Amino acid sequence: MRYDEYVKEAVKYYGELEEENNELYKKYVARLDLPASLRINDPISSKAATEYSELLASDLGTSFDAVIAGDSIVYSRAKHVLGEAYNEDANIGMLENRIFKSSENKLAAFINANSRKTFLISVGRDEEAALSVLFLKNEAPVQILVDVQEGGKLELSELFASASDEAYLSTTMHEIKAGERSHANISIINDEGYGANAVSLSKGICGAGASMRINYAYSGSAVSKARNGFYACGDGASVKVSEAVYGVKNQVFDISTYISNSSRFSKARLDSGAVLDEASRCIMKGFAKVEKFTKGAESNITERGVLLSEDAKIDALPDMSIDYSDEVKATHSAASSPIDRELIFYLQSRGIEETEARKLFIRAFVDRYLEGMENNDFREAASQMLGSKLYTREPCYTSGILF
Amino acid sequence: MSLEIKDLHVEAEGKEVVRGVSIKVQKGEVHVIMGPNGSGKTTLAKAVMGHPSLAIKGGEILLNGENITSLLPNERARKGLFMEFQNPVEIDGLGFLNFLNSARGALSDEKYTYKDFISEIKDNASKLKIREDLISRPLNYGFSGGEKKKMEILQMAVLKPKFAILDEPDSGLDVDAVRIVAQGINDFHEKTGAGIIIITHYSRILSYMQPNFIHVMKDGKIIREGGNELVQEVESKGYEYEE
Repeated sequence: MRYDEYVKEAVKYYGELEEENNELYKKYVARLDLPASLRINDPISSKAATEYSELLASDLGTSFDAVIAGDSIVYSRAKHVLGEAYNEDANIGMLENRIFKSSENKLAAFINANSRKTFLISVGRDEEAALSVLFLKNEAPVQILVDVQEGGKLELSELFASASDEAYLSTTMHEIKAGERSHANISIINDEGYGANAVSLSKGICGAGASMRINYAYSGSAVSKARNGFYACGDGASVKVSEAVYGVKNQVFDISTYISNSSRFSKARLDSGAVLDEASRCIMKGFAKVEKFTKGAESNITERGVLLSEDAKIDALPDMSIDYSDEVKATHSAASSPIDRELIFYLQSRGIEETEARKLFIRAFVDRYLEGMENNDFREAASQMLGSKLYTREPCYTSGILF
Repeated sequence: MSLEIKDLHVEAEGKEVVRGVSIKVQKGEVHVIMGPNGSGKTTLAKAVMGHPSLAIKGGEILLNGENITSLLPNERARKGLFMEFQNPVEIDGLGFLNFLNSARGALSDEKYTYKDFISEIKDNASKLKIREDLISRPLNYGFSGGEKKKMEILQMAVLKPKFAILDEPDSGLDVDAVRIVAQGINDFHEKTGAGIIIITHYSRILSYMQPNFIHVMKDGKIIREGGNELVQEVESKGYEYEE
């Protein structure tokens, strides 16, 4: 499929995941704000990408084990964990067992058809690994397969930044497998520039006795559309997803996350929080499914929003479907409001100026959703990035970078 | 040094709740305002601290002779005013230490090391029998009523205001906690010589303290003033005074 054909046709179907058969959700869908014509950017030079990543790492007080620009690894000191495979190579086991099938989803079909290769992050049985990766994005679709095998442990931190300040469509797909008794802690920060229309698909499968912790921070891009699905499949599997959104200007976030319990004593939890300023908008759709024969399962969704201006808008739509009512705990809730005047008064009564009090509160609100990030440097960087928007109302570091 | 409330009239949501209250607190004095529910005590405290939703319809508030009636709450705090809240807010995600460090930095230009700061907090927390883990947690988040009250007194001890208004520091506390909080207030008073206004319904906390003046407030007005004998009178007769 050609790129322009995709823009015309596939995007409108985007997001129709098999599980998202929800009439309510279909009423709340953000449109992408794409220019009339798009072009694939020139490849990013390795030199420029390396220099920029060093600058970014220094500013954020962190470091990257690998840098991927467009669809090329330009730097990696984690070759034992991070690899790449050309998609036509049918011998790669991971590629043969994709979670996303092209037949299921138009975006998956597009990415499968248009990306040259797949990045593979794998942790062997009972092995441990930590990896931080900077993605400098352009139109080149990126697909990432994460495989944590039985008893393995992975701490993965990903920062998505822009390789261009021009308008572009950024597409990303994650497929994550956590084997039995494994632990996967995956943090994904989107801080692409305002030229980006970022669409992403994520799917994760968590095996028996395994824990999967996914931490999203959505900060950049003019429009962010995410369709995420995480499945607690094995007995005692635990999935916890946190989503932090910080919107300014006319940014639009359309985030749909599906969590599922399909086994006994499994846990699935989704906590989403958005801070919206100026004319930004967030559509927050969280859907929990408790399948049959899931004795002892727990499922929770919380959605919270803080509106900093009269023009900001949030649609928080938690929903649940429970097919098994015995010995199952399931809750969902949503709330949004401006900042409570009493909170600000309290902080002011301690000498803190109103502007600073608001910042303290917002930072505290957002940090709640970042606390699951196990990489301390990365968590602090995420907090800084989101926090810095309080001051500049611009993406923190990645706007306007040209190669 | 003094905190003077002169003929203060305060409206809340269009209704006059404080109707001409005058109290003058000198440095080192402890005043008590007693009164039944709905008498305007908390509104008075919030008005003195500068709550933005309250409208001052008359009178003024003077701090060391300076009219602070139109100042913002943080500006009043910088001049040495502190309010202990009846229902302290909870802010999940905002660490207590981070918050208190921000407050101290905002209130004082005095340089201090973080080590000394933590040491001072721990010392005061120990005296107030506050569990050490609470100071590492988000501000008041998930705390019991008693823990919140103690944390308020801890903040006061660390921030060292010149005048403090304590809005029901004893409400919701068990017998032991009342004694501990009273002791905390006494320690702060002895160390700093600050002027204090204590708002309370009950006399129990006052049995651990030596207030200089008692004011009885009802329907937005001070209806009786005097010494400790008024506490006994309230205990025996309640608030059914003739105005």
